[in-house]
Amino acid sequence: MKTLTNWLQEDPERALSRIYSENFSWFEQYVLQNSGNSDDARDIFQEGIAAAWLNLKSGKFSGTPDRFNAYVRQICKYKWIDELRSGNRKKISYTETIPEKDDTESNTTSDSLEQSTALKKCFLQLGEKCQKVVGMFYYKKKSLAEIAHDTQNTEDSIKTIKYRCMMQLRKLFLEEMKRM
Amino acid sequence: MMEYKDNIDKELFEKIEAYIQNRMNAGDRTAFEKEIQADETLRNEVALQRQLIASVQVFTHHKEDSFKASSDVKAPVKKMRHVWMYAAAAVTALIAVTWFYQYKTATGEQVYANYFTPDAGLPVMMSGENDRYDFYNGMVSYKEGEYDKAIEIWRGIAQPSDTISYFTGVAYLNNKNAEASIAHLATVALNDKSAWQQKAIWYLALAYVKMNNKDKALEWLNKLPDNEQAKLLMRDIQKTLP
Repeated sequence: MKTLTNWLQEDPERALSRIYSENFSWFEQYVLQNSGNSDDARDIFQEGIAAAWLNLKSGKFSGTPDRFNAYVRQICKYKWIDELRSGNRKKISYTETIPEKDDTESNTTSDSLEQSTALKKCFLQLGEKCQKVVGMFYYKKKSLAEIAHDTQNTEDSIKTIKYRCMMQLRKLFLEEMKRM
Repeated sequence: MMEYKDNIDKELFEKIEAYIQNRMNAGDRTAFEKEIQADETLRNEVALQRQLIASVQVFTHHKEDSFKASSDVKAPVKKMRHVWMYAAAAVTALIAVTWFYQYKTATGEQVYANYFTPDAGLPVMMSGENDRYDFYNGMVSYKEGEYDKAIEIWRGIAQPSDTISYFTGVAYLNNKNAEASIAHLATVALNDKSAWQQKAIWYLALAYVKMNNKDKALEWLNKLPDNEQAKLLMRDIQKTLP
C-alpha cells in the first residue's frame, strides 16, 4: 500500500482527478438528498477538495492515504451543512431537517475553508499568463524547457516569470491574511 | 499573524521550491533542514510556499474541470448542428469573398488581423545596472501580457534607446492602441543604425493599416522590398482596401 510520503510525490493532475472521481458521485447523492442540486454539489465539492488538498500538502492532514477520501467527504459535508444553516437557501421546506454536524468537525475545518477561499481569490487575481505558466510547472509538472517551447520563451525567462508570479501570489495572500 | 521574511529573492525562492519538490540532494537537504530548524521565519516561509504551490495545483485543476464541464454541456448541440453550421459558414464566406474583391469593402482592421502577430519579446536576465534591470523588468511584464505595466516601467528609464522605443511601440500595438504606437515605431523606423529598423517599419505599416491609412501603410511597406510578407500585405491592401 502507498504511504502518505510517496503519495504526496504523485503527479498532482492524476491525484486530483482520482480524488474527484472517487468522491464526487457520493457527495452529489448526499447533496441531492439534502435539499440541493447537482450544481450546488459541484460548487461545494470544489471548495471542499481545495481545503482538503491544501491541508494534505501543508502537512495538516496526517492520516493514511485510504483515510483521505473520508477526510474530503467530511469537509464537503461540513461545508454543505454550513451552507444550509446560513439561511441563503430559500428552497428548504419546513419539513426537511438539516443534518447535524459531526463532533469531529470543528473550527479547524472552518479556518481551512476560509484560507482556501482566500487563496482562490488571490490565484484568480493573477494574470492569465501567470496562471498558465505556474499551472504548467506545478500542476502539469512540465519542465522549464517544455514550457519555454510551448510559450515561445527561453528557460531563463520562464524561471523569472514563474518567480515573479509566485511572489505576486504571495503578496496578495499575505495582504488577504492581514484582513482575515 | 505569523512572521515572514520581508523579501524572498529568486535564489532563496528556488531553494525552497527545490526542497518542497524533493529535488535537493541528500547533503543539501540536511543542511537546509538545519537552517529551517534554526530560523523560524524561514520555517514559516517554507510552509507558506507549500500552501501557494498546492493552491496553484488545485485551482488549476478547478479551471480545467470547469472547462471540461462546460464543453460537455455544449457538445451534443454542436454534434447535431455541425453540418448546417458548416454549410451556412461556406455560403457566408463565398458571399463575403465575392463582395470583398468586387467592391473593396474590407476594413483596415480586418486586413491587420490577418497579418498581425505580436513580437515575442527578448529573453530576460534580471541582473545588471539599474536601467538594464528596469528594461528586463518591463520585458517580463511584456511577456506576461501586462503591456500597460511594461510601458510604464520603460517610460521611467532615464536613457531611452531604440530597443525601448521599439518595444514600447509594439506593446501599444499589442494593446490595440495603434495611434499611440506610431510615434515610438516611427523614430526607430527612421533610424538607419538601429537593429530594429526593419521590424519597426513592418509594425508601423501595420499600425497604419489598422487605422485605415492606406497611403501611409504602402509608403512604409515600399521600404521593405525584399520582404515577402510585406509584398503580400501590399497586394491585399491594394485589392481590398477602398
